[in-house]
Amino acid sequence: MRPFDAVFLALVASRCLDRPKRWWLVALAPLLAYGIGWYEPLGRFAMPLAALAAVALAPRWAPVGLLLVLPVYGTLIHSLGAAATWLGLDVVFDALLARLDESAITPRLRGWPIRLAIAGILYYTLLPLAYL
Amino acid sequence: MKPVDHPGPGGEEWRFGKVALKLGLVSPEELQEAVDAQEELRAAGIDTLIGDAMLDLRLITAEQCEQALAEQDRLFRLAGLVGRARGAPTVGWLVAGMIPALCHMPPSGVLAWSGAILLGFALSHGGALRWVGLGWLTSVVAPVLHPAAIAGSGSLLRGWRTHAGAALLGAALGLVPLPGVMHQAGPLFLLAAGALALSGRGR
Repeated sequence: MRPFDAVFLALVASRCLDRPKRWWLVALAPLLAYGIGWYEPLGRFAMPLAALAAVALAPRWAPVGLLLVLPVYGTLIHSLGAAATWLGLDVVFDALLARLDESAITPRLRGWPIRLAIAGILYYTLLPLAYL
Repeated sequence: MKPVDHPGPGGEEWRFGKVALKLGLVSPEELQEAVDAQEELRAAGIDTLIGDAMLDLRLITAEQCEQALAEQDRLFRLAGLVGRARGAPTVGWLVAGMIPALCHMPPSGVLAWSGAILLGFALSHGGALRWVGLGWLTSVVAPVLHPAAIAGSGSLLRGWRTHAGAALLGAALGLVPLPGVMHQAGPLFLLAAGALALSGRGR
């Protein structure tokens, strides 16, 4: 999975769950995945350890952390970029949703369809970031 | 300046039962009756929402349920939980089902993933750490899988329907030869948005 896809998948998954108090700790997941993944002595234990670390960061948001450790982060910059993109998107996504006036949306699109559509449009808007 | 006292996630003031109580739609005794009924159903393996239990017991009408849900949405916004909504379980299994396609899993990996998701319903029932354990065991059998792929998708699921739905969707997206663009999150979100809008299950 590309880091860019993982960030968006984690963004949508986070909206299905209650937000923990220290939700921002999840942003460390890509850095942990990079650090643990590149520590060679761990061998085949690296992946389960990264998954355990992701759960430990924010147990109530475990699926979000787990999705963020899925990609292979080639460099530290990639993992930092994924963390920053996720944090930024989290704010932008909520800001966009807060500005939506329900009465302006056709009833069938209200709720999750419009949220997923916004996530899809944001995906294409920010797609150039995936090629950096 | 006095801080605004938002009902945060810890206070759980936005829970449907508490909202219905606050609006005077049910009495504390009626709320307890609904909670008991919900727990009985859960003990029998049927995952139900407190609002549905209240409707089944005729403690509230459909209009009152809508009223409580609208208030709940307002509280979600105040608590910074804007996106969390009633359709969350449906979206949870849709997101989980996208994982095999986005991970470009080979057919053996997709089958192992689907099997683990179905098996996980019996073994892991919501515990993220147990899902990590199951993911690790599955990745030993099928080394092409990342334990987080199973743990991440499995811990999003609640109830046998969502497990079965995610396993089927994951197998369909992972095994059917789809164009490359379908292995990206953006188009899958737009497709899911369309499907939810058409089915009317998006709220």
